[in-house]
Amino acid sequence: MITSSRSRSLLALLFFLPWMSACHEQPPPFQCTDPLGCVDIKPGKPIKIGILQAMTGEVASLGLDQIRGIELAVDDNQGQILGNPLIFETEDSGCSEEAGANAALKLIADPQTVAILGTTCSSSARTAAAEMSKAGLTMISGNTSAPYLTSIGGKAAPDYHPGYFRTAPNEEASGKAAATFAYRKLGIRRAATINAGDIYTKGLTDGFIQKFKSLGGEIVLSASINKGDEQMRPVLAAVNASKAELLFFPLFQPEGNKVLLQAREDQALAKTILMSDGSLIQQDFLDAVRDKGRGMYFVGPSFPRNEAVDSLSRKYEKKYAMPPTTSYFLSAYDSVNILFRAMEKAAVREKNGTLHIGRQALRTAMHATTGFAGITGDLSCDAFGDCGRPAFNILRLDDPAAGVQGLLNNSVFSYSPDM
Amino acid sequence: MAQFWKKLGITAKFAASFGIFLVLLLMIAITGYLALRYVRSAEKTIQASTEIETAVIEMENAMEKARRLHGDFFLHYPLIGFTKAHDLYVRQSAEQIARVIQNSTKLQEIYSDAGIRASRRSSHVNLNLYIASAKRFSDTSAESIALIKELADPMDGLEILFQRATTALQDETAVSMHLEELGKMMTASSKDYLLTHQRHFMQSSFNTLAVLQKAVENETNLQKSQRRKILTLLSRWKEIADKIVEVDIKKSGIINDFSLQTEATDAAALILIKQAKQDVGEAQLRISQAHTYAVGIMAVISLTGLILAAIIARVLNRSITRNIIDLTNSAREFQQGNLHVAAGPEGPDELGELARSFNAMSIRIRGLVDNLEQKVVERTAELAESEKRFRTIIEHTPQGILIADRENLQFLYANPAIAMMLGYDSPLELIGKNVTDIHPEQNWNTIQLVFRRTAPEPRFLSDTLCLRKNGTTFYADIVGGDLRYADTACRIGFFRDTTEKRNLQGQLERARKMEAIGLLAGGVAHDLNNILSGIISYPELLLLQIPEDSALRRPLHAIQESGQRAAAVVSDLLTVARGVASTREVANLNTIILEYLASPEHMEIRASHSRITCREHLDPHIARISCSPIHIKKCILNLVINAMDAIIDGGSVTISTCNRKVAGEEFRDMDVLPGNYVVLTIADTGHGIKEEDLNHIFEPFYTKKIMGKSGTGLGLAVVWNSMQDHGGSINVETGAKGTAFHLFFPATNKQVQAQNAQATLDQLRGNGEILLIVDDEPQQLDIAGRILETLNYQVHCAGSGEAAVAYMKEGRADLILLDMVMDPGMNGLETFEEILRIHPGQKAIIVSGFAESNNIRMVQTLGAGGFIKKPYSIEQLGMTVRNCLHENGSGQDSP
Repeated sequence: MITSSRSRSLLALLFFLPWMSACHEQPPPFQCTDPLGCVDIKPGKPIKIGILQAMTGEVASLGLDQIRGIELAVDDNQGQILGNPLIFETEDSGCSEEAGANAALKLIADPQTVAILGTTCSSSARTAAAEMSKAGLTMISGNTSAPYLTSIGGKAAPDYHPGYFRTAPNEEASGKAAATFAYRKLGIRRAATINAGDIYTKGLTDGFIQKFKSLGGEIVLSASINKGDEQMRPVLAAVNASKAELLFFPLFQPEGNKVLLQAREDQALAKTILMSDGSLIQQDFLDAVRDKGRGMYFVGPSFPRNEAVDSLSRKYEKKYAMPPTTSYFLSAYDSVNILFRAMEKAAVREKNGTLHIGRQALRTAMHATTGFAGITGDLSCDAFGDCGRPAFNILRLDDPAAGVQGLLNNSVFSYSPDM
Repeated sequence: MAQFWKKLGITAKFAASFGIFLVLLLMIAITGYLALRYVRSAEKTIQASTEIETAVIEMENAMEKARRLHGDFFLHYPLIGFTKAHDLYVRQSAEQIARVIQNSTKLQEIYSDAGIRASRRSSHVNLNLYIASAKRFSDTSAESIALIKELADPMDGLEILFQRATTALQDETAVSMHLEELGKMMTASSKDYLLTHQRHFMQSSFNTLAVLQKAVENETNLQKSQRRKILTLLSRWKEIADKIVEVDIKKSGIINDFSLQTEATDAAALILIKQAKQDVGEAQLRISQAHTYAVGIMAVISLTGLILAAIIARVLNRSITRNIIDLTNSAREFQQGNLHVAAGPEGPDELGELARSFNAMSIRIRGLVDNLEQKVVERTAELAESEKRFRTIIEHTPQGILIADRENLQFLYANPAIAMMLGYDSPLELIGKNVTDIHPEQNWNTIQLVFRRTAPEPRFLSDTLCLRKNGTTFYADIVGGDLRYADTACRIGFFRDTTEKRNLQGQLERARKMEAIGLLAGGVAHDLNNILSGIISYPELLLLQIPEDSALRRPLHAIQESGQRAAAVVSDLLTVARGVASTREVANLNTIILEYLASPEHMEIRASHSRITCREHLDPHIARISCSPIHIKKCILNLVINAMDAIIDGGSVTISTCNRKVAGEEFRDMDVLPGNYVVLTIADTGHGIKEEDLNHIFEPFYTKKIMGKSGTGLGLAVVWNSMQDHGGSINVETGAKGTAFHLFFPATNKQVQAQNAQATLDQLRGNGEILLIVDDEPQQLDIAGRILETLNYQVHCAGSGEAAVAYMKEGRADLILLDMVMDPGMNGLETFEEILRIHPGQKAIIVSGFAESNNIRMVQTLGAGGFIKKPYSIEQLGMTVRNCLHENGSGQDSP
């Protein structure tokens, strides 16, 4: 009888055990109230971040430097956020709108993608940002600078999409810097521009034209080429015909290379001053044009020169066994850190260790970035996603053999919108 | 575990056992259910994957078809016109896109089904990508259609507008060959662009246009309106050309977009299909595995079930069935009488309880039975013990017991005593004998008559003559009665040999006779000794005083010798009466015999029996004895005289000694206690002693000789009494060939004392010591006084005990000679006790002519060192006094 009683007690205990444990107070399950939804990451599971960079074509070097800047930042963050490891999916966004859109779709297709680092080109950013924004994601770039992506004249640009951020400075002032330098420093009164029809190059030439005209100069030619064009002689012929003293052609490679090289072959343009922008401040461009680039001007962002930059450059050189080929890896580095800090702010961790990152919360945290001590200076993100400090230098290529660093060191003019 | 199982009740055990089976069944059912569910899930996965694969293929096909139709549209619209191409291809393409979207929605539903594995997240991603790409295709397709429409619309498309502008320019520039030429160049470049879509052609066209514009401006042949018109046309033409380039760029981007979309959707579709196929394969594998596992698990469970069934059956068998069988067997055995059977084990379950109850009952019953058996055994043992005890009593009782059949008078039982009594070797020898075998013939009638009569009460037959086996008879008292023995009517008889009783009666009579004689002899002897003291002592004193040649010496010697012979007779009387106080000493019997053989008395006897040979066979190794040599010699003398008197015509008398150890039953025949003896045998070859005389030979004054002439009738009485005094015994063997008297003397380990040589008168002399003589006879006082004075002692005499005490109060004495029998007044004991109070340690010698041994022993106990009997010689008295004064009476034994 005793045994029976014990057995019954045991059975009763087993029967009521679930109820007893249920009586133990449990915290309520996490309810995502973020209007754009949340990304839930189980304890120990990786946080997925997409990377959209140009990995093919002549701009691949730009994309590669972006990726390296990202990697250096991830290294400095020990490859984790809030204790969760990071996983990256990298897609080739090329340097076109369609490539950016299709690459973005690949990342967006995975609902676990928290944010996107990219793109390399503003044209690909235009479509990618649109897709990203529709999906509720956040994207930040260290390289895109087309004003159309964020704001123009203090107002939302046509291609601004919520969730888009960048640490590369808005080059709305880049064209202005070039025009100011041309008009005021070089005394140019007749200028021609060539763009590639995309928002980046067109944004820069538009800014140049606007400023140059405002300064009293004359835009004698405003031409466009198509990406992929090989023959630049007709447009150079037009430049020559226009009697332009200066040709501003903020093109990417290889079109920029072709314009330069073919212009140098044209004796009629021997006196024409050639000016491009940061998209050609690349080692492989210098390597491609060599002495033919001598005397050419570039307008590009003015990154500070300090120990932090030098230290990161040394890390770059140590990690990749070569010096940086552009300076945009710095802004890529900053873009990663800003994003990570914002993710840390936006994340909510449950008691069971599950991490919840609200998509809108992340955007809000990004916008709330103020005075962020980045490698490129103190960064603050405005309402349109611009986090970079808009300061530009005019560089002159006097010694192609000195490379990018030699070029960067040879600043002949600095420009700030505040000037 | 085993303890836990043992503690369970039967119900719990069965519940546990069936519970285990139920669990196994449940496990099988659960396994089956899980396997079915697993298979169902896999089948669902297969179904879903197949649907996914089909849907993806359909979607991909539709997508491909849409792209192909769209491509056809691009290819054919320049040929068949935008409208017709739109109708032919665009609508169908849109339908296919719609199918794609529809299929993607279906796919989303399938993927959202819970049955699809969560691990297929990548499928979700690819599907999302596919759907997004499809939508993008739809959007870009629509955008491209719009661009184509903008470009190729037959009404207001850029191409037709560009064509019209070109025609208009051609018409307007025809006024001038130069202008016309430039116009053609410009148009040619534009046509190159339209064919190749290489922008630099258009740029060349624009460059020519710039030249043309300047040429127009500079052409003088043109009217202003014409110039303005041409310039407007040029501006319009460039505007349209720019738009065419712009649309072309967009169109090129869209085519590139399509390509990227195709790349993305193809890859996604491929992955989806691959994953679907992989899912199918995995699902099929899962089904196969589920089948394998299910079969395996069920087999294991079944096997486990079988093993458990065997184990449970064994456990149940061991813990229940076998216990029941054991209990049943135990009950059966118990029923069959095996009360020691135990049911077990006594576990805590009901069977254990039953076994415990059974065992308790068994123990209880066994206890009762054992108790009963024990009692029976005890009673039987008691009876056996009682029977043994009674048998032992009967076997060891000196009374003879016989049980005889009353019908045939044959003995059925005899005890050892009766066998011994009747001279049979064993009681068994008597079994079967007839009653008449143990009775003389003259008693047979009486015995038979006794057996015929019933004897409900014991009957007593006294002094019934019985017949031994050897034919001799003896008297016995018989008590008989009826008894059932061995289920037979018997008569039991208890025999008591009355021979000893009769002997004892004879001895008693003889003792009484001896006592009477002793009393008589004692009284006479005392007086005679006092009288004889004068007759013996005075002649001796006189002989000391008269010359050697005096004629008086012979009569005096005769008087003295007569006195001594009379004293010897008195001594015999005293011996017979046990009134003689004699001294003991350790001696060698051979020495005594030799002294006897050398004595004048023996010589005289030999002389008077010259035809009789006297032989000695003396064992030189005989042990020593403690004895009175005088009395031993006297015994030898008397026996030798009798032996020689028993021989008529010559023969021999043999004196022999030997050691003999009496042991076992011999003492009964020897009439002595077991121990070591020295045996003196005096045997003759005479005519023997008649049986009727044999019982009287030791009686005083019983003689076959002539009284007063050849004997006094005291010889053998003296021998008998002397042996009694020495703790010995006499054994007589007589027959026709002679008689042998065996005298048994107890042997002693004490050393032989040196013989006192006969002292001379000078040696007996004292040194003037003071002696007090106490005697109520004046003559005795005088004789003793004279002798002691002669021996140089200072003598004081006291005629009574009171006078002696009075003397001792005033004076002293080195030695007191104290008569024991004094009348009236204080006797010797009382006098000595009184003197000891005055002079503790006072020495004294007891002098007595009569035997009162107790008084004499008491006086000696008080300190009297010596004893001398009346009448005594000068030497005896002198030696006794001297020894007592100097040696404290050494060499003397108590009487």
